Amino acid sequence: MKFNKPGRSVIFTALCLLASNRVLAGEGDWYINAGVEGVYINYNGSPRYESLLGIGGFFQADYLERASFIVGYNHNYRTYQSAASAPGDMNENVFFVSGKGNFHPGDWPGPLSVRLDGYSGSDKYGSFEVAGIPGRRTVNMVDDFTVISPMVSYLNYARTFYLDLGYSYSSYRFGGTSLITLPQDIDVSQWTPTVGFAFNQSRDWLRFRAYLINLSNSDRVNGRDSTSALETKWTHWFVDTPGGLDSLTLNLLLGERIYAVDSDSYTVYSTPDMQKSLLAIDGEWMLGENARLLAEVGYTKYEDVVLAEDYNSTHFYLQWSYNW
Amino acid sequence: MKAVRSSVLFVVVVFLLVARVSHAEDGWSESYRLEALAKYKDAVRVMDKLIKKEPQNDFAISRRAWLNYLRGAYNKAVEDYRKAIRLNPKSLDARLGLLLPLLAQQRWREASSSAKGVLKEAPLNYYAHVRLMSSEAGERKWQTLADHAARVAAYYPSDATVQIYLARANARLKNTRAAREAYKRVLERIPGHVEATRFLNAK
Repeated sequence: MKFNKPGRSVIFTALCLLASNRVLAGEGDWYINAGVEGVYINYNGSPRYESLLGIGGFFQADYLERASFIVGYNHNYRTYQSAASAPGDMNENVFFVSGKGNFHPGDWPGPLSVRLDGYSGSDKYGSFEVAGIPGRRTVNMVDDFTVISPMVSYLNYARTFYLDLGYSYSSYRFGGTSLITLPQDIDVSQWTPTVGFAFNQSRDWLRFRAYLINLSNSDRVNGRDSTSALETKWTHWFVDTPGGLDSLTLNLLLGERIYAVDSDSYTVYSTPDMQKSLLAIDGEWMLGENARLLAEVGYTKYEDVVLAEDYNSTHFYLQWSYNW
Repeated sequence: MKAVRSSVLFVVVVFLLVARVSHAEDGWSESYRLEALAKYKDAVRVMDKLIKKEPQNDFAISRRAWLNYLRGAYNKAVEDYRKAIRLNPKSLDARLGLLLPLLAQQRWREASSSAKGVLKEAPLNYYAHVRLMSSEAGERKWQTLADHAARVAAYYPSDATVQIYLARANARLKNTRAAREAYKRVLERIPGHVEATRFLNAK
């Protein structure tokens, strides 16, 4: 799943083929969408983190409503407190790919979609010194992770009822110097059953997603072997689009979630921080027919499971995308 | 005696042939009768029998597609319209028919692609234009819809449907004056039209 150089070439070639196919097709059966995004997170009261700055982008090619392919990349830079317990700053690189097919079986009153996502990332920590070790005292740590995430979903043709069942298997492998005791590797399996429905003449949408996460035995999570959380998303679409605002979404997460994979935002939460609640609001603006802007602000409560300390964060997220 | 026997045989064969044709005609008329009674599922069963006898009859398959569309079996309607198109690739009827279940399923892009395919061969086909407009509205491409509806309205000046799309697109684009003008034209063509009346009274 790792994207070595030949792997990246294959993706690049595939994208070129998709783009040229669209041109050759002439009837516009391929729909291309691309976007860039940025995120800033400010941590309050964390024994480890100060802030995170992230940038990313994605490229999406849809063949009519039948199939969709996405490739994307995110880079996050997280600064750490200068306390002795903290490693150096972290650079995270994540590549992801996603493929989705929509099928219309027999008498079903809506399409069945099958989606498969894959992520490959690494969290590389800056060099830091360990007290008490003579000679070579500089330590490097790298946490590599791979995620495979299939999903089956159903949406009726009236677009008033939605169901999905997602699964993610995440594998984290720590590497680096052997001068210190490294955290254990960990495997995470996550189930996300989801139900959603529309109301108010389909101007509102309410969706519930459970996160049921099982953790392999690891010192990373202080002996925890499972967590569960419920995410509720309420979206309202505006008819009159005040100020160009197309929709507002309120996102509330309650419960406990760690090493989660968010299939909506293609996000892998790769650090050992237990999300205990999240409240976020995002607005989406349509900038003409082809461009859109998504802005989100949110507040999250965490527990550092290793140090057993609570803290919180405020995040700001922006995404601009354009479709051809 | 031999001549008499031959004549009797001839009469029997003709009778059987007539009876067969008559039965076939009955099948068609039965399907129309059931459609008029909104018994679409029964009408589909009648068409099944006809198609079993004439599996290459693209009209029969298109008709079953239409009946499946009416009864809400959109996937079967799509399947049948595509079958009819394969049998007769020139059939604009089948290609226009295909747009109906696609639009009902909100498969806007597929409908748009099919409608544009029809318009390549028949650039001023009314149904292709109107169904493409429906797809553009579904995709919320309001500027594209406004431009498209304005173009087509010139070719079909007596038509109210195109004016309604023009009005809706302009309303979404907040071109209130253009929307009002279009809704006024709707009322000239359909006096008392609910949507037009409501918009003109509200603004």
